[in-house]
Amino acid sequence: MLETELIKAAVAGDIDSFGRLAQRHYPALVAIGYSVLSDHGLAEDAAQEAFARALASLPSLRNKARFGPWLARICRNVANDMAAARARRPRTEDAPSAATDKNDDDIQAVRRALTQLPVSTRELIVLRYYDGLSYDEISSALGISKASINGRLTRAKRKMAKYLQRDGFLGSSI
Amino acid sequence: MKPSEHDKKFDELISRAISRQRPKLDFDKWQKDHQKQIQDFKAATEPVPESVRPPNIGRIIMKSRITKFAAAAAIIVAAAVLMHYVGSPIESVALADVLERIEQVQAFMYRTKMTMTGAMMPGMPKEMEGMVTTSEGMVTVSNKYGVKVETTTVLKLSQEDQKEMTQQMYILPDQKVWITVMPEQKKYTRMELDDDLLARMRKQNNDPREMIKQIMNRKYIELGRSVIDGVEVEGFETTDPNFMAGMSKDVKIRLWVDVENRLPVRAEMDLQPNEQMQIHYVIYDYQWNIPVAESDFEPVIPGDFTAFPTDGIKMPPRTEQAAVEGLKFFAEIFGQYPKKVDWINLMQEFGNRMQEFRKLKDSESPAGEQMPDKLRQKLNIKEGQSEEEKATQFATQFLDMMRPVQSLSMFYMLLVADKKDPAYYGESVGPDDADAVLMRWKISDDQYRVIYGDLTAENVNAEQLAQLESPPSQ
Repeated sequence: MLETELIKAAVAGDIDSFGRLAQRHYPALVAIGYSVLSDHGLAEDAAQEAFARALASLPSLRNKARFGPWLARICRNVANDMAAARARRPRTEDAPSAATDKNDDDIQAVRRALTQLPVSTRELIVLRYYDGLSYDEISSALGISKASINGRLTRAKRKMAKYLQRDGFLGSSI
Repeated sequence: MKPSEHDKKFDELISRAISRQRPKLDFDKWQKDHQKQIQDFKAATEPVPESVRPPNIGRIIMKSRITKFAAAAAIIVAAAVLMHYVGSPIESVALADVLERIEQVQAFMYRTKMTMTGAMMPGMPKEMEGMVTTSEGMVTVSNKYGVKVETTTVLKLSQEDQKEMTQQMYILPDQKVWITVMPEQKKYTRMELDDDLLARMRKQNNDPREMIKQIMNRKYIELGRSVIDGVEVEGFETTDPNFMAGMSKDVKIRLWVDVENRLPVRAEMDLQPNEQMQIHYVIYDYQWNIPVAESDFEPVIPGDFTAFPTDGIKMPPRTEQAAVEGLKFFAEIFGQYPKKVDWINLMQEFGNRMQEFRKLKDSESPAGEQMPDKLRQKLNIKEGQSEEEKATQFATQFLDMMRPVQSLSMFYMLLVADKKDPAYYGESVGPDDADAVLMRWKISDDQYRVIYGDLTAENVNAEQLAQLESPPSQ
């Protein structure tokens, strides 16, 4: 079923259509959550809470063509709220992932560079590399063209490279 | 062009640093965890019988037009008064003598005349674009007691369709309050002033000094000598668009100063904030060093006057957080950020967008469907009220609704006034341009505060800002 048909049905009250949309957009939303929270578990919580908030506003969704960016915005807000709440609590360590086990200098340096990026730039990088979203999926989530994604990614990586150089990281990989 | 080996390696490195297995949503579990939300959603999407549909807000708004715009005019006048208090430090010296002379004056009076032409009010329909608003006022300023402004404003659509209203405003620093009395409506309202604004008022000692400081702070020319009402005067003129916090692209400000005593005799302002609107403002009949008494600044509120529903509200906050709330609020209603954030253009854009909703409402059914929920909630006008009640309720709710965007505008105007090198890109950046710079200003010699399209904010240095503001590569 086409995304536009699913959105139309969901707005009209069909919860199953909303479910299918939620499953499609889940990876992108988790990536967005991760770009803010840097925590896999919390990122999934943020995405799921975003669906709850989206459901409440769905009947009044005006621009159905921008469903993806609308969801992304909600998720971003949820993640920001969670980050603010977390900042008020004592910090806990992020659960280790497959990547965090590789404790080599290159990876740590890249992670540091990532945290130095502006939030929106970091989000784009995470969308692309966190769980390998395609340009089509990123385009759907952010509502920007594939050409624009390419340009922004190029700029984002250039910025990362600059941060890495400033950080004294001159690894052979870049 | 194929990616280079170097690019591939960098891609692999980033992937290794952050990649993980693609997550999957267990929607059945999600449904179990969110039963209440699903219940509410189903209730909200059930068809609504015609008899319980919300009232047609657009139609209510369009009734009692002039009455309603009177309230909006009051907002603009109030904003214009506020503009006097967001000035800048002095740099030039050419007018310093004049300013020094005024600083020695303890109390003075002047008269004002203002003509505004064009569609400047929120929600104004097209047929009202030719409306002319004229205002005459008398202002008394005392360093000790405060400011009193008495104005008579006429809103004129045609010979048959016009409304006159008078208003007295008192700014009383000791009581930290701004009181407005509206005799025709037998209403009054008080607004609490915060310490920051009061400090600015005290520091700048009120108009016309602020105008002089503004002129001194801009590029200006000397107009030479002339004679006004038998007094030999010398003129100064600025056409710098940054005058008055950049609220108008086309600006012409002229100040005429008495050659003998170096005190202002007359000031003229021509502003064109946008193509549809023109403002001509004259300040004249200055009287310097007049005797004043505390009783001159005591508000006259007869016993049968009642408090306007907004009575007691505080001045909208002028913080970054409040500005972000204003942007968020605007985007939630209209799906975009305001194109400009100076007060008059912001008000006009708000009005034009309300108009668009009305057009949509006229062309599609059911009525009111196009009105965003947020707006509908805010303008929860009840049926069965008199036109006067509806107008009052509209004005109250409109003022309340405008508070976040008012904060945004005032915050930006203060950045301009404080020379924080602000820039706003609402014309090209929308809520979906997450990584684009929407607004920025300087916070130290090499640091800027940036608000992005997704309304997140961070501090960047000048170099990073240059990168962020550079056009994207192809």
